[in-house]
Amino acid sequence: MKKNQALRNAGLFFLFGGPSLIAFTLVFLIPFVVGLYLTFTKWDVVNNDGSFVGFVNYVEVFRDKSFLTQLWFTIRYVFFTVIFSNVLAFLIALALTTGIKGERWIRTGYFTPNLIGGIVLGYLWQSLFSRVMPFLGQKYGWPLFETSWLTDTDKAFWALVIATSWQLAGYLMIIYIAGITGVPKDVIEAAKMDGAGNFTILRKVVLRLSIPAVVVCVFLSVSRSFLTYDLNLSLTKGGPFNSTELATYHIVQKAFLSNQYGVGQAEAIVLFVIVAAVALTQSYLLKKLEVES
Amino acid sequence: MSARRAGRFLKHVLIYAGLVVFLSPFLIVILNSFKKTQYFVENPIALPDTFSFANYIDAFHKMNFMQGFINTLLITVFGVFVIILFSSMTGYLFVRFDWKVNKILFFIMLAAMTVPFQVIMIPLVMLYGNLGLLDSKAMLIFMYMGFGVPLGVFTFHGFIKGISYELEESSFLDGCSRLRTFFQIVFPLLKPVVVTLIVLDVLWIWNDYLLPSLVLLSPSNRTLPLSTYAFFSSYSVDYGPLMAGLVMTIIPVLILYLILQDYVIRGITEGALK
Amino acid sequence: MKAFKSFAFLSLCTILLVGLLSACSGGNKENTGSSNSGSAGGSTGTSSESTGSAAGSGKEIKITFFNTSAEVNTVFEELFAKYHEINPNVTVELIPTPIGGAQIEIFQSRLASGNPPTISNLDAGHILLYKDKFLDLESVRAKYEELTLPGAVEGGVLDGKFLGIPWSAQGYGLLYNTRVVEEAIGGPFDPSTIRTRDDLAALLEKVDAAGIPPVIIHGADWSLGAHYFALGFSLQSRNAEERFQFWEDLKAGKVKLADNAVFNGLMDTFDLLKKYNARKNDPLVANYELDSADFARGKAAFYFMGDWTWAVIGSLEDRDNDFGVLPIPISNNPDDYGNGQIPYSEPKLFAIDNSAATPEEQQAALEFIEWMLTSEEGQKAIVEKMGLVMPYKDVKAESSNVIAKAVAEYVSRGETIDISIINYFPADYWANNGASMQKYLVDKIDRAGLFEEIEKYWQNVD
Repeated sequence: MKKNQALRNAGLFFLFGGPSLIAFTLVFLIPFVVGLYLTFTKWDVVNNDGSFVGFVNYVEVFRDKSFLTQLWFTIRYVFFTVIFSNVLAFLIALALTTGIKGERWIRTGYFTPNLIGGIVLGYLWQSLFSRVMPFLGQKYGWPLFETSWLTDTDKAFWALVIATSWQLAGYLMIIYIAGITGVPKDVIEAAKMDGAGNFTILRKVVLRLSIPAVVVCVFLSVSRSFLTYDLNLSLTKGGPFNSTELATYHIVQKAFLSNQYGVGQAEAIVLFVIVAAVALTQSYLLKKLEVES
Repeated sequence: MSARRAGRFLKHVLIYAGLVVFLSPFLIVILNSFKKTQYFVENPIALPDTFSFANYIDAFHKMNFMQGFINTLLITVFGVFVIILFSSMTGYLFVRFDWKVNKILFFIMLAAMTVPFQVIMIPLVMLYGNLGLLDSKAMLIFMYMGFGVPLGVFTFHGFIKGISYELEESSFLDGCSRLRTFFQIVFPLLKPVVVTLIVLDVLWIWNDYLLPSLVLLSPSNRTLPLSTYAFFSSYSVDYGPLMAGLVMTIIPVLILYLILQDYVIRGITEGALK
Repeated sequence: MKAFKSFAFLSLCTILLVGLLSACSGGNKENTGSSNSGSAGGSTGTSSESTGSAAGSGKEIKITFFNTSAEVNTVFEELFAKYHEINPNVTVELIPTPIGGAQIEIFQSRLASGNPPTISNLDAGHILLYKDKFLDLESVRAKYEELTLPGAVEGGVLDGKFLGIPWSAQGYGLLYNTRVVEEAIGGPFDPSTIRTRDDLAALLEKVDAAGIPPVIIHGADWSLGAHYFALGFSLQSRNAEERFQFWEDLKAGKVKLADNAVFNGLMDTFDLLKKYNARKNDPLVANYELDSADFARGKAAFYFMGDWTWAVIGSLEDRDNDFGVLPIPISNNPDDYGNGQIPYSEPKLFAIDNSAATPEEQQAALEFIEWMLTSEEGQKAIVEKMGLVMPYKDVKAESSNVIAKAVAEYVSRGETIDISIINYFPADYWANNGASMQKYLVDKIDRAGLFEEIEKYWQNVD
C-alpha cells in the first residue's frame, strides 16, 4: 500500500513537473553547472584548455578593483531603482483601478515603454538627455539641463536610475493591477462601513492583501535591475570614463572585450550569489509579513 | 466636498501628465519614423516636414519583414503556450504537494531567475552547438520554455496558494483525476494570472535579441529583432528606417495587449463574483 | 517516496554526465583540429589544384560570412546574391552582428558552439587573438602581392603568417572643411603650408577670429584612445623594431611618458585643439552622427576623424562638398615624423576559418573573396557603395568619397604612418586609454595624472 502511494506520487510528479523540469534542467541547469565548472579552469574560447586551476579566477575577482567599485555602484543603482519603480508602479496601478474613463487605454499607454526593446530605448533616452534636454535647458536657462546628464558622473547615475525605473514601472504596474483588482470589493466595502478613511483602507486592506503582488514585483525589480545590460550599453556605454559601468556590463567587457573569460565568468557567479541573496531574503521577509497580516 | 473634487481633479491631471511622460518614447519613435535619420539626429522632437512612408518601405524590404514576422510569431506563440501550460502545472504541483523535493526545486527555480545570462551563454551554445542542435526554431522554443518556466512557476505558485483547496476536494469526491481537476477547476481560476503572464512572456520573446542571435544561425530563421540589425552599424545607427521597423514590430504586440486586457478585466471580475 | 527520489537523482546525474561528456568531446575535436592545422592548410592548396575550382565542381556549398563592418551589411548581402547567381552551387550567408563590443561576443559564441563563420571580416587585432583558428593563406600570398599596392599584404601578416586578406584601407587625421577654412583665411588654402604646431595654431586662431568654431574633438573613447593617443606609439620611430621596443619598455616601467618628446608633443597639440574645441561646453557628448553632420555643414572648420565618416556625410542634404585632411603636427620641426604624414591602415581583413571548415568550404571562400576583390561588380560595390578605398592596383571603380581622395594623395606620396603596432595591443586598450583621455579632456586630471593612469594600465598588461 505504501509503495503504491509512492509510485502514484512519482507519477504525479512527472506528470505535473516533468516537462518543465526537463526543459529547465537541459536549458538552464546543465549549462549553469558547466559554466560554474569553467570558473575553476583556464578555459576560454581561444585556448580551449579545460585544465583545472582551482580558485585562481576568484582571487582575480577580488583583485579587480574596478569590479568591486562597480559592484557598489550597481548596488546603489538597484536600491534606488527598486524603490522608485515599485512606488511609481503601485501608485499608477492604484489610480488606474478606480474606474477612470478610458482606463484600458491609459493602462496601455503606461505600458508602451516595454514594447520597445532595451537597446533602442537606451538610444531614445540618450537623445533625450544629450540633445533635447540641453536644447531646452539652454533656451530657457535651466542650469540643471544645460549640459548633457550623460557626461557627468553623478547625473549619469541618475539618468540610468530614471530610465530604468520608468521602464520597469510600466511592467510592474500590470502585476500590481492584477493584485489590486484581486482584493475583494466586499472587504473594502466592509472597511468603509466600519468608518475607515481612504488612507486606512489603502494601508490596512489594499496594501496588505496585495502583498503577493508586492513580493513578485520586488523580486522581479531586484533581479532585473541587478542584471541590467542593454540599457547600460546604449544609454551611457559605461561612460563618462567607465564611471557608470553596471556589474553585468563590466562582466561582458571583461569576458569578451578583455578576453578574460574565466575571470568574467567568476565575476558573474559572484554577482549571482549577491543577487540571489538579496532577492530571496527580501521575498522571505515580505512573505513573513503576508503570513502575519 | 470641494476638497474631494479638487483631489479628483488633481488625480486626473497627474494621470494624464504621467501618461504623456510614459508615452513620449513611443511618440518620438512614431514621429521620427517619418523623418530622415539626419533630422532625427538634429532635433528628435521636431515635427517631420512631410509625412513620407519611405522609411517604412525601406525597413520592410531590408528587414525581410514578412519572413521575420512569421518566424517571430511562430516562436512567440508556441513558446508562450508551452511556458504557460507547463509552468502552471508545475506551480500547482509545488503548492499542493508539500514534498521536500518540491521545495528544493522551487528554491532552485527562484534562484535561477537571478543568474546573469552571461554565465550560461557560452556553455549553452557549446553544449547544443557540438550536439548539432542549434539553428532550429523548435530548439529555440524549447529554450524559451526552459528559461521561462521559473517566472511562470513563481507567479502561478503565488496565486494558486490563494485558491482554497475545498473546490478541488469536492471534485475528488466525484472521482475526477488530478489532471482533470487541474484543468477543469483550477486552471479557469488562474485566468488573470495566465493573461498577465502571456503579456509578460510575449513581450520578452517578441523583443528578445540575444538568445535568437545565438541559436538561429541561418537567415531564413531570423526573427524581427534580429532583422533590425540592418540599421545598426559599428558606430552609428540609421534611425529613420529603424524607427519605422520598430513601429511595425510593436503594433502586433500592442493590439494583442489591448485585446487581452479585456480578458484580464473580465477574468478578474468573474473571479471576484464567485 | 525513497525509490522515486533515487530515480530522480539518477536520471539527473545521467543527463548531467551526458552534457559534460559532450562538452569535453567537443573540446577534444577542436584541439586535434588545431594541432594539425599546418598540414591541413597545406593540403588545401594541393587538393584544390587537383580538383579544380570549388565553384565549378557542382557540389552544394554553403559558406558563412561574419561582418564587423556592420554599416555595409546590405552591400555585402547584395554581393552574396550576385555571386550566387553566377555560381548557383555556392551560397554565402551573412551573420548579423549587433552593435559595438557585442560583436565579439557573437563571434566567440560561434567558435564555442563549433559553428565558426567560414569567412570573418575582423580587425587585425582580433585575427591575431584567434590566430590558431584561421587558415594560413601562404598559398595565395604571391597572388595578392601581385594584385595589391605595395605594402598592403604586409598589413595582413600577423605574427609572421599571412592570415588576413586586405580589402579596404582607411586614413585619418585633422579633417578640414575647405569652404570654411578658405572663408576664414580669405583666400585659397594650401594644406602643405601647415607643417608645425605653430602653423596650426595660427590657422586655428584665424578661424576662431572669423567667428567660426574651429575644431570638433569627438569625445568618444575609441576616437581619443585608439586614434589620438595611440598615435604616440606609432610615432616613436620610423623603425618598427624601435616602436615595439618602446612599448616593451613602457610595459616594463623602464620609460616614463613624461620624459617622452613624442607623447608630450602629441599632448601639446591636443591642448591646442582643446583650446579651440567647438564642443567645449560639453566635450563628452560624442554624438557621432551630429559631429560629422555639423562638420560637413560648416558648423566647424576642423574635425578629428577619418575617411570612414563619409558613410554619414555622403548622404547628407545641404552639406559642403570639398574636404581635405591634415596631419596632426606634434612639434615645431616640419621634418619630424608625423608632421607631414597621416595614419593609414587596413583596419579590417578577411580571414578564413580553419577550425571547422572543410577544404571545399575553404576553397569556395577563397574563390568568393577573390571574385569580390577583383571583379568589376565587387570593386564597384566596395568603392562606390561602401565608399571605401581599396589598396589594389587598377581598381575599376571611381569613389565618391572626397575625404578618401584626400587621403589617397598622402598614400601616393608615401607619406603615411604605419600604425600596425596597435594590432598587438590588448583588445581593451582603447577603452582604458580612451577613458583616461576623456578625463583629461574635461580637466578631471592633468597631464601628469593622464600619463600616470596610462602607464599604470600598460604596466598591468602582461
